[in-house]
Amino acid sequence: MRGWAVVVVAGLVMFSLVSAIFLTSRARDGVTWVEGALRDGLAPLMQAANRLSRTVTGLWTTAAGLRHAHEENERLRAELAALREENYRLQEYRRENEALRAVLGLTLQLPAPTISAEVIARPLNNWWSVLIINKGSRDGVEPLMGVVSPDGVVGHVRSVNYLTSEVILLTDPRSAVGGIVQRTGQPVLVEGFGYPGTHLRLRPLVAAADIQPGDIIVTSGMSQLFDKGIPIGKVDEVDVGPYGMSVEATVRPFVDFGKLEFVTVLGLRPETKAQAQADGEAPAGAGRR
Amino acid sequence: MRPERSGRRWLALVAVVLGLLVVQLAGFAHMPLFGVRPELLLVFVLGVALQRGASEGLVVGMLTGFLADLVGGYLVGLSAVSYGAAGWAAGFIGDRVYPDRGLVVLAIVAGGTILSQLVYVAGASAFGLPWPPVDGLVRVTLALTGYHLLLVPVVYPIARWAAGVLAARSGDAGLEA
Repeated sequence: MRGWAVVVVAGLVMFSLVSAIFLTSRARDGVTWVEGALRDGLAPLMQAANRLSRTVTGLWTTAAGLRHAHEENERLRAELAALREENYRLQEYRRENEALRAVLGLTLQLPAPTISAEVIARPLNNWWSVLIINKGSRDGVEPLMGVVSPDGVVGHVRSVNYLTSEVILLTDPRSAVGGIVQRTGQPVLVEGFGYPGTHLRLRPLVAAADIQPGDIIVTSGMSQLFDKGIPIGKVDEVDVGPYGMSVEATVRPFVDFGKLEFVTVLGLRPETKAQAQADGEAPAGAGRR
Repeated sequence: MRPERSGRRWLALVAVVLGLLVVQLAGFAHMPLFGVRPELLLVFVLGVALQRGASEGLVVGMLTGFLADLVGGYLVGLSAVSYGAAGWAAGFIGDRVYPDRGLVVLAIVAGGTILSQLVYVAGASAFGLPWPPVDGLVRVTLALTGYHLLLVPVVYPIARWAAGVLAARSGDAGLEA
């Protein structure tokens, strides 16, 4: 090929790549059919590879954990007894709450439908905090649905294909969720921090916020993605700016994102869905950048 | 080489690349080393580039990077740029040294890994993403480099086979001409 032809081809390729990067650097409503077909086409293979990998690592973990099995068993028995007692108490509170709501004439909020999913793949490289789960539009998953695990908030659904969905974790720099400090009830914004990806950044939404290390942060329930009170994390460090004018804190999430195997996608409540359809737009909630 | 046999080898090459992608995304999902998961495709690209030179390293890097980007779905094309840059650099050095010497392969994989990560992070920050903290950047890059070095004995033979398929194509082209 002649020299000028090489330059023209190289220029066209670079232009195409930069355009593609630019177009996909912003929030998108969905993915192209090529991306969707590739993800869905590879989904069964990813699921098989993931299960094989989990079995192998599981065998290793089990063998390593056998040494401490007896002590762990004792600890779990004690924990179970305590939790059972707490459960009885909570059931009593619930009954009392329902009775009081009935007296006051308040309607009960129905629990949102949930979709259980398996994590089948991790991100392409180590700079993003995303997961691919084995549930897609076929199973009722929609973009911007909240995702949780038994330990707390995981993130939200970013894009949905027929068989799979992409979940952005709370630690990703593109992620943000509204929370409250459980001790004081003050509203805060919890954002992804990027790598190292094990911590979250907390910004108070009120002046002179009272935030201390050890405070528990839970979801505020202000968004349509998460109910109020789902655990997010615990405040690790509090950084007070010059003259005490600004406060910023680091939060350690309750969820160990590196070990997630199963998650629960929170479906939209029927009333929220109807409202969103009436408005002709997606539900507001977790931040998109 | 007969055309039908050549076609079969090309199909096998595509299957191998897709297989490496699946193993990278799903197979190593539960096997982090110091919190980092490997990029098998990058090691593959560096191996092919070392065998085939700068131009083919660039092209193979860009194609495999773009394929991986399509699954990633965000900043599509950036891995193509970072893998392409690493492939070109590995091929450039590969043209000037004996590529099958063990230490050369390890040094190229280490250097290529560091280069690709820097290009990727710089590109991501150019498109609005925050630059990671320096300690995070160093930790991820070093852990990833170590992980890739451990995987060289497994991935490099596959890359050599792929380089053989590409060489066969070049041979056919030469005969046809």
